[in-house]
Amino acid sequence: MEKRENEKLEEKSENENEKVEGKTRVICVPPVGRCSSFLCSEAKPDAEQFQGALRELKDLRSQLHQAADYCENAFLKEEKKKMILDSTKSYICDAIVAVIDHLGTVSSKLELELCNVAKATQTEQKMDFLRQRLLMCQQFAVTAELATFRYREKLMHHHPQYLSDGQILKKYDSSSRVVEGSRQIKDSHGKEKFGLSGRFQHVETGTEHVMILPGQHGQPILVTPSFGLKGTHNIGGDDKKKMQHNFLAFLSKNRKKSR
Amino acid sequence: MARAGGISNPVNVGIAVQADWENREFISNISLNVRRLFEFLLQFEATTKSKLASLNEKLDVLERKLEVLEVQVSSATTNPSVFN
Repeated sequence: MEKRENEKLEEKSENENEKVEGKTRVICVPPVGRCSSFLCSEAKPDAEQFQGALRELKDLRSQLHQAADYCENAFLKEEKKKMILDSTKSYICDAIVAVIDHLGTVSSKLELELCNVAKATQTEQKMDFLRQRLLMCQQFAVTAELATFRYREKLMHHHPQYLSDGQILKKYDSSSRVVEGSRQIKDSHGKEKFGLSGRFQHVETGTEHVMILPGQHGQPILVTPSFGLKGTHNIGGDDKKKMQHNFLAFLSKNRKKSR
Repeated sequence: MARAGGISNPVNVGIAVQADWENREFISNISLNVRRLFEFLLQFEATTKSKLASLNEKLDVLERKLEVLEVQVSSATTNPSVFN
């Protein structure tokens, strides 16, 4: 198709040359070339095709400039202006068609280039895989560390040194929540130890949970979850010495644990 | 003869005017098509710019992710005791 069109243009120019009398030539401008990148598009990669199409468009621009200069000079110099005008008109029509064709190929090649972002998505996927693997390794390391941190050979024991009377403790202000409860303090055998059964209060002050036990002489005893006694108590009777001994032992144990 | 010459003059003038009008029509058609070409080029430029900008953003994000991964891998390689 392109060859036939080129041949037609050549024949036309030759006919026009024959018609003109004298030494002058009407149009000796080479015919407008059509885009040839379509023929070998499969062989070249996309980037080269786009570059080739762009190069052809630039060559066409220079060709059109030369043709315009030649037509202008010929129209001014020659006498048969009508012939020159008709040939120029036909050349303009062909040139516009050629320009549109070239622009279409360039734009299509560029769109193909922009749409082929498969490489970017592939690299994105690979990076996501790497990140996932790293996160898994980090999680594994964290869980391993936590396992060593949490495991303790010596578990915490509940000590039966809680003392309680039938005394009711004072209520605290509204800033701390007070939960009243009653519990019978028993030893490991399930018997009631020291004949004690009383009330205790569980207070939340800020972030710390503290248990308050009533003492003998109205002094409350604060007990932390680590079962460290924070107050002193006075107990009358034979159990006093035993309780003090147990209390001291309990304190020493807590100190060792905290170290 | 004079009349023939006088008659031919307006005919020639008419022909010349008609030819002139044809030329003007041709020129207007050509200029219209050239303007359409120009508009297409502007539109094409805008769409291509936006596509290139989005592609650039994607590449920037990928580069940052890659840098983060490099740092993480280097820290993991320098502290192998974490995984022992």
